[in-house]
Amino acid sequence: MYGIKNKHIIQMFHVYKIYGNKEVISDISLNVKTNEFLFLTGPSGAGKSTMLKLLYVGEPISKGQIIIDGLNLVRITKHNVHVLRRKIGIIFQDFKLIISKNVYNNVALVLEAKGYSRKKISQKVNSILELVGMKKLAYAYPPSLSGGEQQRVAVARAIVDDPPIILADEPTGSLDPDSAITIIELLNDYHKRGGTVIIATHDRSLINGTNRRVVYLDNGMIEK
Amino acid sequence: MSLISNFYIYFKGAFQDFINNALIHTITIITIALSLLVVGAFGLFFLNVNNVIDSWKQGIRIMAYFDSHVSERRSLDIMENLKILKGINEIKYISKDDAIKYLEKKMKRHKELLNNLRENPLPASLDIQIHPKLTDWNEIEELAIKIENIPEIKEVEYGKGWLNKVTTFIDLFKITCLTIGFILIITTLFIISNTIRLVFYSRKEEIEIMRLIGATNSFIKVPFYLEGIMQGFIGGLFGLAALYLIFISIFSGQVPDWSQNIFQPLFFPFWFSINIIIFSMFIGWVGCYISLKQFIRL
Repeated sequence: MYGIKNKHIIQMFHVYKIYGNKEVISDISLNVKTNEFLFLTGPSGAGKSTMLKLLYVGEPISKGQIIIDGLNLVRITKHNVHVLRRKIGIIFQDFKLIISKNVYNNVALVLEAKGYSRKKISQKVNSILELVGMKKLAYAYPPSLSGGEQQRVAVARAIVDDPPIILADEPTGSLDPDSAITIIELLNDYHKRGGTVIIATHDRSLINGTNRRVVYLDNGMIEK
Repeated sequence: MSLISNFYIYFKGAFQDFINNALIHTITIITIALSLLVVGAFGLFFLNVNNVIDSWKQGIRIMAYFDSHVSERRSLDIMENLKILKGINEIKYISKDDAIKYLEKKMKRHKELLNNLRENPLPASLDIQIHPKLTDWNEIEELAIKIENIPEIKEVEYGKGWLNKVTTFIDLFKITCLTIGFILIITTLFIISNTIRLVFYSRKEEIEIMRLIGATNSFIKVPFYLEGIMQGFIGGLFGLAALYLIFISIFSGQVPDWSQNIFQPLFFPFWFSINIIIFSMFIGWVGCYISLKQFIRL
């Protein structure tokens, strides 16, 4: 389900992202192995979020190549971008939950989009909400939840269909320390089950003392 | 994924959006209903005018008068030959005697005027009734000319003058109806596409999230199309119902006596009403298509 261990699931070759005259990402080459847990860090404006956007084709690459699980992102069009995004669970600092849908439906949406049956959706959603501790609030709407709870729903949505990769952009950025720990633990659990995780963060406390690989970005370049 | 499951999700999405954006959708439905009401009123007027004209057409006759020297036997031969002509429903031979008897009957009070005549001045004639299906004025005229060209026929009468006037009026009326109908349909399309656009704007973030989680274009679009079709359906139904109520309130037992022989007011037949609603749904779909074509390019 998560791919072959030690095989590179993400490969970036001399990747650039240029806005006008400004190189936001400059000549980045990076390989990420299957089941790797990687922190992408650096100061604000270093290009962390942009790099994640390039990985899920939120922005097109200006130069270079990115290959994710055999898909060449340069060749991905607007019509088949869903093929890539079904391999990736994305978590944002601002949660990006649909406020008109309750917790259950926010999580179920991923499976509905993939065409699962209602029975299967019910099974998967209930089980993942149980895992993230949100089952009791399944019918609550996002505005009535705390930041930590909303982020747990976002994590549930990202991992509900066990995608091979999770990209998290400042997932603890707007959370209190306890909620932040819960989110990191959930991502750790996902990683233990074989998933690949990339977390973009400038929060040093998440990185300090970890034995995970840390990639430091500054001015759009990887600091050696 | 089963088709039923798919449709359930699409309908659920469309229905939820209908509830969430009730005001915008209500405004669109009212607009569709009003547009349909106006176009329908024109259509209904046109239908009834056509009905009246058709009833006139059913009474169209050509009177062909024979030369005085033509024998009755020859006249009857000519009548038999005319029967095979296309567009003739019925021919009646009116002999000179029948003609004078008819005149006497019509002029009961002035019978003495006819008694003073030395000989019957009325010609024998053919009363030719045109087939109701022959509605083309040019064809009627062609038929009349054909009959007039028979050497034994002296004169033909068929009310050419008013036929031309009616034809011109009908053509003008048709063009006016079609133009107004077309303008209203375009306006409705514009309004529907703008409504969908407003809904789209209000859900822009949601759609972006759906894209991020791997939803396909069709998964995003189909509920919008269903919304457009639902708007068309409800608007069409309300518009037609309003038109029917207005029609009933105007004509129920109010048809003036003088007009009863001319026409009985008609509403659209059932199948045509169904077609109007289907057309309204189609307009809803097209309005949606125009809007989505611009937006689903992210």
